[in-house]
Amino acid sequence: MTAPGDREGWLADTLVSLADTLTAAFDVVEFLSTLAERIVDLLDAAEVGLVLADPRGRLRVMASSTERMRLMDLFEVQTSEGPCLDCFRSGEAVINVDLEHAAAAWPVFTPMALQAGFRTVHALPMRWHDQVIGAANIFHATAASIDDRDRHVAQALVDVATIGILQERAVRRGTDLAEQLQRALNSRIAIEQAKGAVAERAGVDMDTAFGWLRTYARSNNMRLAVVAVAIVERALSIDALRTTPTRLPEQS
Amino acid sequence: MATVRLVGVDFGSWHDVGQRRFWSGRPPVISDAFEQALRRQIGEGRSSLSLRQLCEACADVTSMRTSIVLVTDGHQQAAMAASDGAAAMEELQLTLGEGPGLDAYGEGQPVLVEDLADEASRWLHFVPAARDLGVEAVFAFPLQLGVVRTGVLSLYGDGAGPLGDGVLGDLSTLADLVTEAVLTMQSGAAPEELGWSFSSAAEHRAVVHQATGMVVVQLDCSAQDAFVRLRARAFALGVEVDEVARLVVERQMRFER
Repeated sequence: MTAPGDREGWLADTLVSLADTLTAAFDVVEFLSTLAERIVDLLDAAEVGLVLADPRGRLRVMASSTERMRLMDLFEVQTSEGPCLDCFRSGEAVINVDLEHAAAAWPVFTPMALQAGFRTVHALPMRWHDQVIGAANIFHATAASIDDRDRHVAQALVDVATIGILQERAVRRGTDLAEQLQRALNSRIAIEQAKGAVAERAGVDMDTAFGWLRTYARSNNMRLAVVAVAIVERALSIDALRTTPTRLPEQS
Repeated sequence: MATVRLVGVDFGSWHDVGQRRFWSGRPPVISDAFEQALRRQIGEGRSSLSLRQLCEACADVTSMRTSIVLVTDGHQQAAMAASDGAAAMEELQLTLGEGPGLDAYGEGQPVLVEDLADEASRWLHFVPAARDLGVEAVFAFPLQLGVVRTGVLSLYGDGAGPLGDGVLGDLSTLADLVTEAVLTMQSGAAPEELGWSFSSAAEHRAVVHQATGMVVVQLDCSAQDAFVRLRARAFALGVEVDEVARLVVERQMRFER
């Protein structure tokens, strides 16, 4: 689904759904997963991922439009090189890079991205004033290009998300942000552990496992991280996740 | 106590391609000041470091009392290492049942308090008692890998004020390294076999965490035990834990009870 003709309506809907995840049961991973899906719609992208920097300045993937292993590999390699790292270090957007001509710049990342079926890559900074906390990584399967108008809308959504994260705990100082980002990074690890547990028990792939965790968290108004911990600590039965989607009205 | 071995640190650099600059290699993992303090603790001709020495190195660089508390599954204090004066702070929290270290462990996030005087209402008993002992700032980091929690690294400052530039990142790195060392100890491998590297030990790929979750189900065990079993299998096979994890996630390797 791409951003439809009713662009204003789509934008309003997107802002509301982002604002909605900012309320009571705020969870950074859930919030950024919503953002990733919306940017896919907007830019008709193949995949979108969001990375945040840990306290050492290493980029860690927090959310992506799908949880395919190949895609995760592409984010992980960018602790060393790639568009996200350049974007994070410079604070500037990296736009419309044709992967056919990017091997000199990113010798490890480029062949991996091509092999995963991507042709064009972009990265938008998650920046507020002089503070860069991460980047949005956008992939197209074709030699697509983002025009200025779409780029501005996408950057605006990323900015809303950045402010949301910075404001979540009324971030007053750098240390508050550090506490929160570290918690988010840890919760992402717990979610990976939970995905594994669900995938093993139910015999599904990681993407499906993540979808189940997310649906359960949403429909029970719980933080995704809390559900993940409960699953791994076996306080919540994995079978409870499996039955959830069919009982509930479709998520908008 | 844990002994860990330091291996070389691989830093990256900018390079130019045409009109643009690109970064290649890993960002610095730990600052020169910390690396040198750690090497001083290790000494010439030796290759291992105890948790106590690690605390001393932190105390050297930051001029703050430093402790590492290890906690067992049942949330009981299992072991402690501390530089001079830090043990008293841990005993205080244990006695009072409150404090930044306990919160860092319980909440799974760092607790960074630049001025204890501002947090008197958060820890009614701990704050006055800590200030009586000359502590005005506390920085506590959980030793944690997702659901797996092994303890807390805490620093206690004599004066109020923030951590110096870059120190936050260094301490986060050290917390991850200690977590890894503790879990490694528990995997039963001899320290000299572990080739413990600053550039890789602190960061695991998502596939390792996913495999941990799968092994939790396969063995009906805790996440900590599952991670330790993955490590042990990797040692036994002489491969990286990433590789074992990938086989598990691709369902080409299982663990049997």
